[in-house]
Amino acid sequence: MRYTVLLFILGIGFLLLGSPGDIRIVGMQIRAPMNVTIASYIDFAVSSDLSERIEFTKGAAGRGFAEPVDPNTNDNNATWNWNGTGSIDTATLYYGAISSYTNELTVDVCSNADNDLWDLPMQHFIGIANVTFASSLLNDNNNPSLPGVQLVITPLWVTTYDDLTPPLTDYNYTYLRYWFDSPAASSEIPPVQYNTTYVIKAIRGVETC
Amino acid sequence: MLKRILILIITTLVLFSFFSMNSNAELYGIGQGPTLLDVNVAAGQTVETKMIAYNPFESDVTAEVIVSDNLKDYVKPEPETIFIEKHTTPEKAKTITLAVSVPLFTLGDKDIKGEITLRGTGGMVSPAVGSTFYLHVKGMNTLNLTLITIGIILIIVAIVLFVTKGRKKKTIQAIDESVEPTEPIDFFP
Repeated sequence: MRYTVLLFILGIGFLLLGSPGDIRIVGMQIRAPMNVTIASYIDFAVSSDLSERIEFTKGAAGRGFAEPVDPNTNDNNATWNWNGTGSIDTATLYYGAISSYTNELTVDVCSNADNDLWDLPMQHFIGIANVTFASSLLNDNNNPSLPGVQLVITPLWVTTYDDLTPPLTDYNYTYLRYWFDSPAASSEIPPVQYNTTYVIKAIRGVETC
Repeated sequence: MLKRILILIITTLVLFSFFSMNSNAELYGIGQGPTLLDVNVAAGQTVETKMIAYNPFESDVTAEVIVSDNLKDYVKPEPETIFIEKHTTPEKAKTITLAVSVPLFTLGDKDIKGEITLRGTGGMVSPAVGSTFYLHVKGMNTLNLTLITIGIILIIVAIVLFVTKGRKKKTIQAIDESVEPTEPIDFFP
């Protein structure tokens, strides 16, 4: 009986020794480092016009009105690339913002699309690389930049704005414009509506998208 | 006098509508913290870490907690979907618990860098925020495996000995009980 108990205790001992958790040896002196870390936060929002949808329209209009896009045309504007009302009629209504609660030194804004642009029964698609964008801290007729210098949206994360600085109060904005290059007409791309989900997120500035 | 008041009211209304038309529209978004999580866990252990979700913007938001693919086997968020009212500060945030567990027989140490993303749901354009998550797994090495194997063998041997000795004892007892007591033999009647 004694040997049985001894074997059992030894077995438990070996199990404990073998477990990969930390084994701490208590010494005679305890030296405790003192440190404190401030909690870090990050937040990000998009304008209501951006959160609703990005809808592309024929040609260079982009003032809130959507018309079907012609095949084989480039740089078709998103409907709110230019605001058609008020004194800032040249500004875009697409923007992202971080609030003063964000306490990282800088924030990177990244974006991607969940998928290519697909029609509703998911039989035909247009590559998401046909959608391009530009971003800026300024919001006027020339910023975010005009077509020609924009970046492509992909299913992978791409940097939408690099190193946005959090504000001391209220919000800091990054302004955005979007364009669509329409492919040539073909039986593979019938004249229907194509959709996808666009995700735009903020991460710590030291990370890469 | 009445005419002047009317003009003043109309002017105020026109100015108000002009400025409200050009003021920034509602912001739809979400916030979270901490932005950097660093978790150490040993094989066979489960640890919990907390995140908070807040929303200082002007619209209520429902968001889903997304764990990056390389962390999915180890990290389970609770809840997976969270509703956060507008105008909430980090001090009045909602809590998300991340249960981090690693199977006992995970071999070798691992350092995994992943991301926990909070993504607004419902729209065709989703705002999201991401926190970097470092997971350091202390897995089994040869020494661990050897010691655990020896431990298991010793425990099994102890159990077998305990059971067989118990049986032997019972058998002897049964034999003892089966023998009828006999009267002492009188060798010298």
